Amino acid sequence: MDKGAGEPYRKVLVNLPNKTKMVKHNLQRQLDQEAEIDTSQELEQFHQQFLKELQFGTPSVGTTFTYACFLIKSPLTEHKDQGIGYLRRETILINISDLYTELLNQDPQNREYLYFLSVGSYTAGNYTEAKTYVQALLQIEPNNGQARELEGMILNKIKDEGLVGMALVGGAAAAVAVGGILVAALLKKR
Amino acid sequence: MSKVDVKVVLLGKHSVGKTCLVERFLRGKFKENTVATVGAAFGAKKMDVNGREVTIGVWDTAGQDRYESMSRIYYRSAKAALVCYDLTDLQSFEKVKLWVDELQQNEEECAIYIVGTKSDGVDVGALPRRDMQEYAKQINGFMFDTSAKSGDGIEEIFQHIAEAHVNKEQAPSDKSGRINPGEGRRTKSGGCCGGSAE
Repeated sequence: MDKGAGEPYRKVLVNLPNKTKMVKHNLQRQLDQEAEIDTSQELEQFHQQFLKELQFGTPSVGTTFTYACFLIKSPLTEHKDQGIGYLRRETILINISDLYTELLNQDPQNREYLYFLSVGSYTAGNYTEAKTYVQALLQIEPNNGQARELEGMILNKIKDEGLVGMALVGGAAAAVAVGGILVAALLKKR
Repeated sequence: MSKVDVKVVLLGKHSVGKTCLVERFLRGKFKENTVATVGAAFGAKKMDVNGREVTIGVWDTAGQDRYESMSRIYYRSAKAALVCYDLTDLQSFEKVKLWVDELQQNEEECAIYIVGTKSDGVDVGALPRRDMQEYAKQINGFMFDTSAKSGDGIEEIFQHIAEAHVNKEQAPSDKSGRINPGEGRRTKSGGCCGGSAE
């Protein structure tokens, strides 16, 4: 009974910070949830399909694309790198002359390559690369809400990394300053 | 971050307006110049059912054919599927049947909502839809008409899903996980905006 009476206060205190976080990044929630979906069966299926087509020459764009998407979703990092590799190869093959300007005209799929390249780079922790891809996509499609959200997440990460970098540099500077003061104090003492 | 109580997936041919429907539900506005969804997009919203909070997690899937083999991972373990077609292009209903077949084969527990979109662009009453209504009945699904532009019918679907979830939780004796259409209709009569089910 006593415990029950105290409950509402605790609830309010605990819930408030959660609520402010609520609407933040749906995309981050999506990536977290996608990582939990077991896609090993699909990955294996398209892996086999890809290998089969490889025996007869270049695998089809459709197979390569789907295979690469499942590779990106795979929790294994080596898969992720492979996934980015295949997509990158497709993009460059199709747009070898001018990667960023004619993309959409030549092949509507390219917006997807760029998006998944960016997502893949982001989840692999290559934020600068992720930024390049997503901004290329936004140049073609400024109205792409998914890309906008992704860009926001990437820029946040880059900012965070920058802050960490500055903190390290700042820390070093502070250490030097403290050292300087100590030396000065020692000199004075003498 | 609150956890999702009910997983809902949107399926259907490209350009029928799945993203606009979700946008209307999540943010209450109509977004013009929406571009084709890449892969899938997730969003969540809390709903209130008689004072009980229900968090709906919505997976909006890309309608392009090339994503079909990927969509399966998004409807897996969904409690409800909004299979959408365009009321101004009834040909888009063909895709509905394909998705329903797939859902019935792989996700028995999933309640099926057959959702007509863009109801603002057509005289809904004049549409030749006898076959479709027949079909919806046959598969034990719900039929709704919606407009992301005006907001008609959209809140109602999700309210219906949330209520069904609460009802099911309160009556755990019902061993079939499926939302009962009869039950649904009764709870729905409390809704406000007109022009929806059947």
